[in-house]
Amino acid sequence: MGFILLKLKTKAAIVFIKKLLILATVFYFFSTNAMASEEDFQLHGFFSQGLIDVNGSNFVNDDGDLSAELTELGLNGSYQLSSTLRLAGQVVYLDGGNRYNDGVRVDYALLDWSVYTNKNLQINLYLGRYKNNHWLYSSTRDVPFTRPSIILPQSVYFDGFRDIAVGADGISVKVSHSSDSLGYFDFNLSTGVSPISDEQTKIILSDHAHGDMKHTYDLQASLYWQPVLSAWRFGLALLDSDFEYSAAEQGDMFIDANITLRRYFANVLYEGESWEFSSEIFQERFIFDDFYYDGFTQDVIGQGMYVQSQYKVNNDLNLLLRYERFYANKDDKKGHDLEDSTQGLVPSYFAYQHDITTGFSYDLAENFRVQFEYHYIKGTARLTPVVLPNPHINNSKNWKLWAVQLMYWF
Amino acid sequence: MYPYQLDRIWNKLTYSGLGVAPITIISPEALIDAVKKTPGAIGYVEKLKDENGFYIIEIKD
Repeated sequence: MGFILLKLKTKAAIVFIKKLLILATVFYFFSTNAMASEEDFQLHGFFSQGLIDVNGSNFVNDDGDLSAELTELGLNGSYQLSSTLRLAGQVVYLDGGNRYNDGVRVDYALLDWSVYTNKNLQINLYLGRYKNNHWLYSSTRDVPFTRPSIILPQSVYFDGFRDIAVGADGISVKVSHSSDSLGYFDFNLSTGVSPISDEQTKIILSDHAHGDMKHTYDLQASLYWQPVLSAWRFGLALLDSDFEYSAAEQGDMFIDANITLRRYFANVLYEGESWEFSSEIFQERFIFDDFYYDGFTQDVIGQGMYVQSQYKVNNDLNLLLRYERFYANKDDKKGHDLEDSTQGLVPSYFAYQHDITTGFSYDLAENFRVQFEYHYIKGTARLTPVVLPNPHINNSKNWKLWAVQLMYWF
Repeated sequence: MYPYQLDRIWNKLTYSGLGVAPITIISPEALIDAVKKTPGAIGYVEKLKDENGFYIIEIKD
């Protein structure tokens, strides 16, 4: 038996929703499975275009000029096949300059099977290309109006790893459980692999890597808990993934390599009437075997975190303040070892990246928003290429960026 | 729960493929009409003139 929830549009609706706890709910229950065909298919999308200016790094472009390489477009459809099966897919076009590969891609394309549903338990299985649903903003990191800032905290949402972290082809399970005494639980488990383009290989390794990089294994899990009637929610997440690099037969500077990335997260979210607070903290282990020469091994532990607050001045205006820290190697926080081990080729500031961000968003009309932000950044550890960085162009320890983006969604 | 939280949940469902958000209705009258016409539908309104054809759950503070 399926049910359909109908939602009121317009600002007046917001007042209605607000009164949800004290006013009447109309409940219409029908003992039939039939649904009107217009409700079976839903089409949604978003358009956004921005301007971004980075001074002191090649985060977006190499020349440092004002850039319009801040485009995010998406179109998605959902089709209900039966009361328990649904098809869903989204196509996006992204352009972020140097941040990631630009172009059209299939963001997700999946079969959603509602395996079990009762009053307190809901289990869904997603088959196909699913989105990463494990971190606070991972599932909609490219959907402008769903995220707190245009540029997400790079410690967690590193754009250089975007195409790998955004989702995968495989299987994902979501279990939601609500208990009157303990609260609300969400558990997610996923395993799958992501295709890695030549561009992405260069973004991670180096411009000189001409071979193929393959994502061979990926297991992720997360658990969220919201106590009964609480504005707080707490989460834990894990990631374990393996990659293989096969060097090109001719002209490759590198040899075959194995790469392992493991990450452990904790996060917290507070959603009050005017104030919001969120934070994610993580540790990652990056193991690198061979690559430069047979027998080479690098095993480093990185650490990152951000704390963020948002304040709703009114229904339209939202302010943001965020502080973020990231260390590529927790045993070399100042980067002296990095600089020494490369004979000064890679400056010490490539060992960390700390960011202070402030910004606002303003709703110009329903589903139409402008967002602005300014970042002051110390360090370059989250610039690409990751493995063999580019200190020639990123020759500044401190750098800044501002960005403005217009967005519309339906 | 605040309105922005509901919007956030529904946006996450809609734009990540996880689920389906509610269908948006323009006015309270149209909502009542749509709930009446759609098998299995749920909606919430402030006032209801005609109570025929609905199951009603009243939520008090």
